[in-house]
Order: sequence, then C-alpha cells, then structure tokens
Amino acid sequence: MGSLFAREATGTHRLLLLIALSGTLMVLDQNTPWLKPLRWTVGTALSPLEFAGHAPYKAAAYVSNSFASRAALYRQVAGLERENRELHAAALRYAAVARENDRLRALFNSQAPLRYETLIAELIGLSVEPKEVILDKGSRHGVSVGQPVIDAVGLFGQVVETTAVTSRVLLVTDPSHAVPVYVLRSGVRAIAVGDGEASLTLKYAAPTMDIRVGDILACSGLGGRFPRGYPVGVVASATQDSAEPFLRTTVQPSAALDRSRHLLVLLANTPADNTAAGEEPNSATDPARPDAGESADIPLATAETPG
Amino acid sequence: MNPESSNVLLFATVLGALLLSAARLPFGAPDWLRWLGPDWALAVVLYWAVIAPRRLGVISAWLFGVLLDVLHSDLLGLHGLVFASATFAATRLQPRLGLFSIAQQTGFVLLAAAGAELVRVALRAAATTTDFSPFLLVPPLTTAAAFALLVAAFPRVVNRLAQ
Repeated sequence: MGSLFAREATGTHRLLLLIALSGTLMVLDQNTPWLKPLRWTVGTALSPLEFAGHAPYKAAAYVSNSFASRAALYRQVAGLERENRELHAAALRYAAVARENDRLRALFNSQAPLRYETLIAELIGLSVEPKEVILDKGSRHGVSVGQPVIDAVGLFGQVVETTAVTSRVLLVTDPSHAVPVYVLRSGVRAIAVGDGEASLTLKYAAPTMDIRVGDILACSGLGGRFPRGYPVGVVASATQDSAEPFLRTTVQPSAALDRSRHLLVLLANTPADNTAAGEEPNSATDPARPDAGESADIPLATAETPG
Repeated sequence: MNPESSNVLLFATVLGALLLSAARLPFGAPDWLRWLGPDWALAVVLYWAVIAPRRLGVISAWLFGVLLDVLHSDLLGLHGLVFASATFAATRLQPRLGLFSIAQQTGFVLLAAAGAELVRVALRAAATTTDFSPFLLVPPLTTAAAFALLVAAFPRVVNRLAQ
C-alpha cells in the first residue's frame, strides 16, 4: 500500500517537473535565441517527415503530367512560349530603364541599387496558425532567417526559421508580420501589417493620408529587410470611422499566397556596379550552388495605377 | 502480445501520427477544412495511455510533444506540457477507464482533447497573437473519433501480432 502511494507521488512529482521544464522551455524559446540550435537539429532530423507529407501531392502531379494528353501538352507549351516572348519583351524594356537609372545614379554620385541573388524553392507544407509555409530549401542552400521571399507577382513573406534542408516563411498576412511600404502614386509611407485572414491593413494611417482605393503599395526599403519597389498589395478599401482616429484600410496582397507553389528567396544583397557607361550588370552565380539563380535587380513595381 | 511486437506497434503509431501531423491539405482546399483534421498525435498518446498505460509514460509523451513542437514550429514545450498532463490524467484514471465501454472511453478522450485544446490556445494567446475561434471545439470531436477508430482498428492488429 505504501509503495502504491510512493509510486503515485513519484508520478505527480515527475509531472510537476515536466510542467516546470515545459514552462522554462517556453519562456526561453519566446525570449532568447538559446534554443535555436536544438530546434535546428531536431527540425533537420524531422525534415524527412515534411517531405513525406508533401510526397502524395508530388506523386499526384507526376502521374497527372504523365497521363496528360498530347494536345494538352502542346497547348501548355504554346502558352508558355507566348508568355516567354511577352516577358522577354518586358525584360528588354526593363533592362533599358535600369541601365538609364544606373547612369543617372552615377551622375548624381548616389549609391548603387542592391542586386539580389535568388534561389528557387518549392512549397512543401502549410501552417495556418501562424500563417506560414514550408519550403524545400534550408540553410544548406544559403537560406537564412530574415531573407525576403517573393513569388512572380509580389512580396510573399520572410524566412523566420531554417533547418538544414527546409525553411519556414511567415506570410505577409500574418498579424505578427509588418512591412514598410509606400504608395506608388503619392509616395506616402506607411506600415502594412497582416490582418490574420487573407489581407493586410495599414497601421496608424492618418485620415489626411493621400490614399485611395486601387493604389498600389510597394516596399519602401526602410529598415533594410525588404527590397525597395517590390509590390506588396493593392488598396481594396479605405474608410474613415468617426469613432476611430485612424483610417481603416484593407490591402489585398499582390502575391498569390494561396496558389503559388514555386517561390524565390532573395539571398545575399550586394551593391551593383555603378556602370555609368552602360555595362552589363555583374550576374555571377555561385557554381557550388546549382539552384542559385542569377543576381537581379528587384524593383519591379511601376507607378501605374489600375483603371 | 509480446513486448517486442507491442514496441513495434507503438513506434509505428507514433511515426504514423507524426506523418499525419506533417501532412497538409491540397492547394486550394477551403480554409475551414483544417478544423476537421483530428489531432492524431494526441489521439495516439491517449490511446496508449488508456489501452496500455505502461507502454507510454509521461516522459515519453512529453518528448513526443517536443518533437511535435519542432514539427509545427510551435512554442518549445507547449505540446510536451499538454501531452504529459493528458497522459498523467489518463494513466491515473486507467483502472476505471479500462472497465468502461469504447463509447465511454471516447467521451473521456473528448473531454481530455477539449481541455488540451483550451490549454494550447491559452498558452499561444499568452505568447503570440492568436484569435479565439468557435471552430476550436471541432478538433476535439474529430480527435475523439480518431481515438475510437484506433481502439476499433488495433485489437485485430494486436491479436495478429500476438499469434
């Protein structure tokens, strides 16, 4: 009887000890970076599970592609060729503008724009709380915490955690994510914060702020984390509530957050050559990293408003 | 069932729960669908605590929870605390639970899963920005259903392993 009570007491003590240990871990995890190596190591060991979770979709896509009809493949190739021609034409125009911009910057002796080396990564997992996606590239590929992630049309988010072979990206729509932006039409600066659903909102936007529905918001580059000029979203609504001191705004993100499967991680940023003579920008790639794309200027947003 | 077979089954169910926890919904699936997904890890922990309490103790459950924290990028220790507490409660009540019908055991798991969900939400809310959603009551229901499924499915496997 005595030993039974002793066993129960030991069990209770063990639970209390584990609760205390959990509490300590949570506090340390929330407030210090001390547990990051542990998380990195265990996360790397568990990364095969992430890939296994993605495997059914990869297999389904492979089977679907294997059985795609010849006519459908022809249509797809024709569409891609057309899109490639259009993008090539746009890139030519962009290259000319970028070169002219470089020359003007050189004339004013101002700092050269940053060029970002990019890495293509595939999305292999999702998390809704917090709003994150998991990519199939990690620190082994050069990904590190804080790097911005984009898709073909806009800012997607930023890397918040890495293992050796995977990384987690916090989406721009998460409430804990904020990005400094400016309105392309008026140049007004603001902070865009995720609303926890599918859009963003502008924090502390004064009622006198020059902002309209349809305005395009782009990264302002302030803070140095996100490249200047990259599209963040379009203002969907801007209303003034007399009971509130600030504008109530809704911004639809430019990036296809729920559809994009292939994303670009912006790796190191290096100042471009101040080539006033119109030399080709340095686009050296790292031969040790075959996935690394060419370095590229990032500002893509143009000062055109829809409609 | 001999202990080795039991250990194989324990390892298989834990690995299966981790795999199901890592699995995601297909692209374009409606957002509300995620609420219907059971907490497979908790269902497995409670299954072993109720069916064979000596196999998975509070320390093993805690370690399993820490693995899940890393997998979900959650606060380190959050799932460990929840799983260790749930295992402790289930182990304490096991002599009585063992006499209950599957429906009654499932009722207990429903209560334990609801309690675990509330603790998780409270801890996440204290640490980060998280909103309360009425859908939070759905996962405990599906977790209890997953437990009933495990209880219904595995006796046959256990018997087969014992032969």
